[in-house]
Amino acid sequence: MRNVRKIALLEAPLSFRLSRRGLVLGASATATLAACNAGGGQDNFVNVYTARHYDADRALYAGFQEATGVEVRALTGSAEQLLERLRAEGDQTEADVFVSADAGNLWRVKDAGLFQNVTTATLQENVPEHLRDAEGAYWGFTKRARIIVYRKDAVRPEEVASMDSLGLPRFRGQIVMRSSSNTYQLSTLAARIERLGAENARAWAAAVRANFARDPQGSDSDQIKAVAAGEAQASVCNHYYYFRMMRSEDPADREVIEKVGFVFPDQAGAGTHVNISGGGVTANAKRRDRAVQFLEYLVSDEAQTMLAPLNTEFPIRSEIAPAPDLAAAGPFKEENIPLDALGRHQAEAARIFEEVGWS
Amino acid sequence: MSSVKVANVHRIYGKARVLDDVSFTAPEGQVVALLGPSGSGKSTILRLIAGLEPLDGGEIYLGGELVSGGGASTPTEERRIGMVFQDYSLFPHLTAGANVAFGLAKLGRAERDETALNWLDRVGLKHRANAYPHELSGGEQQRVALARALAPRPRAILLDEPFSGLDAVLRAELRDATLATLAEAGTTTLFVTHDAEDALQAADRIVILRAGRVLQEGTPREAYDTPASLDAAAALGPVNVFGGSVANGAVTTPFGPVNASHLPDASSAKVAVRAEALTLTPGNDARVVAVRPHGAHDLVRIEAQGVTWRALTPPHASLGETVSVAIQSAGAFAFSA
Amino acid sequence: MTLAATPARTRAPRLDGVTVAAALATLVCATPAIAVIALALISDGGAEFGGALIREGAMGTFGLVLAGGTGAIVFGATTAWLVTLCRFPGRGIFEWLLVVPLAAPSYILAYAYASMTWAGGAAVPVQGFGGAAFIYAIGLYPYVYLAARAAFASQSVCALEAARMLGASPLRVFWQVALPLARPGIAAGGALACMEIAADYGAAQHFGLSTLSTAVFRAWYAHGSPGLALQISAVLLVAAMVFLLVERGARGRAAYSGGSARWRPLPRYQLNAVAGALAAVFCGALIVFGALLPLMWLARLALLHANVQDIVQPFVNSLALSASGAAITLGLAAAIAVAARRATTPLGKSPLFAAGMGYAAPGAVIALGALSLFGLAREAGLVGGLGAALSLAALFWTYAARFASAGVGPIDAGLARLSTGLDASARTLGAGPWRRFAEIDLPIAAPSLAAAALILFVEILKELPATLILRPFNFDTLAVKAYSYASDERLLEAAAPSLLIFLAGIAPIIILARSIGRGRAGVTS
Repeated sequence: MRNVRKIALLEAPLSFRLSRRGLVLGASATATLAACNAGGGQDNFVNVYTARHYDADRALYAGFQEATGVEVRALTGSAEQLLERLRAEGDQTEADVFVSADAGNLWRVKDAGLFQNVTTATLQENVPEHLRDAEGAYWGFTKRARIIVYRKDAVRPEEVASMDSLGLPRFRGQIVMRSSSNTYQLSTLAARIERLGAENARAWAAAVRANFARDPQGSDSDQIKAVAAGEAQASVCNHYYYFRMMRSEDPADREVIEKVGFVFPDQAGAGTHVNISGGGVTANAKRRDRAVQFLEYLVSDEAQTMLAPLNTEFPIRSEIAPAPDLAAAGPFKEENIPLDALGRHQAEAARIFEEVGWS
Repeated sequence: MSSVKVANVHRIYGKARVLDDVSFTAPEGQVVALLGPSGSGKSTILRLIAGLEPLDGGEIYLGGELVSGGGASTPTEERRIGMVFQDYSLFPHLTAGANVAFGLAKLGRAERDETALNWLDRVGLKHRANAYPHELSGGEQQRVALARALAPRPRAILLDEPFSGLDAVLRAELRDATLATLAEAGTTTLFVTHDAEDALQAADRIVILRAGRVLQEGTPREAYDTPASLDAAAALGPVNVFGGSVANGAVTTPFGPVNASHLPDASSAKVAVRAEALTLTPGNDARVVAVRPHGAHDLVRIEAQGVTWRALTPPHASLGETVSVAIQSAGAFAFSA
Repeated sequence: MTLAATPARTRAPRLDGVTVAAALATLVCATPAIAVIALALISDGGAEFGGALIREGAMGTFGLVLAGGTGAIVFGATTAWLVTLCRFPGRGIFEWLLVVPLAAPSYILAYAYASMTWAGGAAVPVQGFGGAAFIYAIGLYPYVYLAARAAFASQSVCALEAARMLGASPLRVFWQVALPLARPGIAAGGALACMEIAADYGAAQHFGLSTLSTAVFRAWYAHGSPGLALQISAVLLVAAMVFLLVERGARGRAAYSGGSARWRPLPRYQLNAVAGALAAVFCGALIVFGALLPLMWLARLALLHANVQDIVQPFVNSLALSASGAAITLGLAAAIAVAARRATTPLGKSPLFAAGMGYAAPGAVIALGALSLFGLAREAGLVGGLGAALSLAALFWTYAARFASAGVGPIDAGLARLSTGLDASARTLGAGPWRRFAEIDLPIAAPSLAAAALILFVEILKELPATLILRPFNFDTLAVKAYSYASDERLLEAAAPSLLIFLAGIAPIIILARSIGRGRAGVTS
């Protein structure tokens, strides 16, 4: 419409003309694009939809190609959007493997009927039972813990020893949290619903909500920064981000971590909530064998030891040593619930968050 | 070149009847003026002839060939009609030469360029062939537009108010030059104007229009000397109008009698007397109440018995004097009211 | 009687190639948005929280549009007035520098300011509602600036001179003559900024605000309901369309005639030393906050972690994708604009409106619409899988649906310079529809086409969600790269691709701004 004009604006006459050179430039760019998508011509590859965006993963792909000769072609994106693409593509999909950094999203893919069950000895041996789907639809290959971070000069670690403590009047106006649109947040509450029931979960969410210093916003790292900046005394985040800030090249990040301590919560109780990065073979995978091979590779000695120092996740296999700084944080007790609970209770968790006003 | 025949044409915009049963013919090779005030529908006629708008009734023939009406409509681009638009509509991104060459697409490149230059030469603008429209004066733009329209040798050429945007001096000059070019080309020409002088000076035939109807069609002489109606008379120059009844084959006005012998006695009539048909001599019939120069003549307002008329006369009268008035019968017409 | 006074000129309805091309282009551009609305009507959203999400989101969006939009209009209109009609130090440079913030997507500005705030680098914390409104005002005012500048520049010199001769002060001339005359242009630019605000997800999400756009993603991500997401999107789309119709209607009544036809050097007020310095500081501040400061901050972060080899290929991909996407969208937009310009009936002009729908929705939603259509086509057996070729086709389709109106706008403005007489002239000279399109419409609109191409290039360069969801395997762009790092909360690594998006967008934007400036001087039309 005439109104929607970016530059209705350009009523003033422009003096330049389309240059022939410009057209040639455009044409050559298109040619480049076409070349990029030709795929190299060889078809020894496996296609992966992945919601993990880590540079470390590229080392994994390279390692896989070296070990098997199979190239990994990745399409990164948000898990929710990749799921919709997978759904729309149906039986015509090019994706062989779907990888997400959260069990809840993996459950959604399974729920949509877009995973196929895969069971191999290698996978069963290497992936602990509580970190994989019972039917073999998806398998974890790294794990991360949901930790409580607190400001060292305001809070003693024993004051935040459990998730429950964040709902105590002690922390009125002193808690910051990430939005409940975030899948980690949903999974944390879903786990609680599994262990303690919806009523308990609702009461806890409401109590924490009542302690908010501000409306939920920002990323996990932002919660840590808010605690360091004195906006609040405590928050919850993935251990992954805390340790990464600790290792950051940006001195400002390291300063933040100097002010903020962390605990693995609920060590005296049910244990710390853990979530997985995992993957499964898509229902309509055209390269099923290679897809399975890729999943097996992810939990192999080679991949597990390669990943450990490259990022700050815990290997899925407890016998593989994590990075030294993670190892220094010591072993911790993990919450032990069926992995699919994170998905099954997801809708309920979202509803509870909505009801208590934790946006 | 071809004749243009417009037969019983109607054109309706929504509820407005813009053209109401309009008929006239432009004979082959002649120059026809469509004369009328704003809103008389004269530009619409050109657009219909060009095929830029559909008819709502009637037919249009080019050289005997039906081009509009009766379900037929030859697309504009196949009619071979030249048109000079009121704003000239020169293509702003093309030089004068390229504008003229635009309609010559069927010719080879060399021939096209040569023909275009030739036409620019005919309108005296050969030296401006490489100028862009915005670098040309108004008059020059008009001449380029004319050359552009004529170059493809159209069957007829239509000019929409061709001289209206120009000042008085340029106007007469350009009108004569245009006429000369058109005469040389021998193309059937229709031009639209609201200026009676343009029509009288330039046309072989005049079609007088008013409110979508044809008031009169004929040569300038016929139209001027034997107007079909009061309005037709008024269309060709200032007239003085007086209403009265016919007595002894004449209507008596305060300035003298006007022949009305073609009307029955005692019927009421309106007379129209052209301002230039009044001759003033020293006398006592009327008083001069205003004098304004009007070209070589004076426009004189004379008053008698409370009635004021306008007279176009050689500059003799002066303000306040009394004069005697004579009405030349050639410029005085009576119509039944 | 003049041509202009002639009422509706109807033309015999003949199907020519241009009309057919335009109809097809309209179809291509409008279908994803129409699909969103259609799917919203038929899908089961499980709308337990739909009402609440929409209510809360609508209030948030309304507040942000009001605050951010007002800011953008005030900044844009005043700077346009200053550089067009006043003389003060640096005016000539500010005239085109003021456009530069257009190169930065809101999400990158939000990210830059948020990280600055955390690092204690911002004197006033940029966060929450105020932070978002600030980001929108500072990032989107160039839309209003460009529109208002064109409007001020094309104003009748006579009216302004008359006002001055009547003894009006500069301020009074501004308030009582120049501003009212420029109102249609300002409204058009303002509408554009408001639509951008309504469709923005990145910045709103970053600042933790509840808007219709964030509600869309909340429904999709938290409640796992793409159906509800589509329904909320449909609300957003319909609201935007109503907004546009109202704005258009208001502008239609305020369409003042242009005044004198010839350009003359505009009479500029010489501001005195104090006022001139204030004007320069004001313009300078907008450029500093809208571009320079975030740019320097990003550069600092990028230097802390220079991962150059990681962004070379995405950079090349971004340029190639933006160039080809812009070319395709431009072609469609041109067909739509030319056809609408020739049309005289509301139906004939409807493609302009249809093409505009996609602009009001978040890109991810339009992509979801395109994806759903693709899914239906696949189930019907019309297409196969999203291989590289089809995936790119779907991506270009979404770009066209989302940005066609950004291209149609400038082209339409360019075509407005064509008098209807030119088309008629060409016809009387025997030119058929294709020849008229190729030799009259196209060359005359060429400068506008170039402008549209530059705008589309920058828009696609900045575009993220559709690219993210529809691109082929192993194909990352700068925006995808920035997103990947940012979503993994690797802000340092995200800095370099963000910086490159910004820098790659600045060049075309400056070419654009400068050519508009040059074009004005002394050209008669």
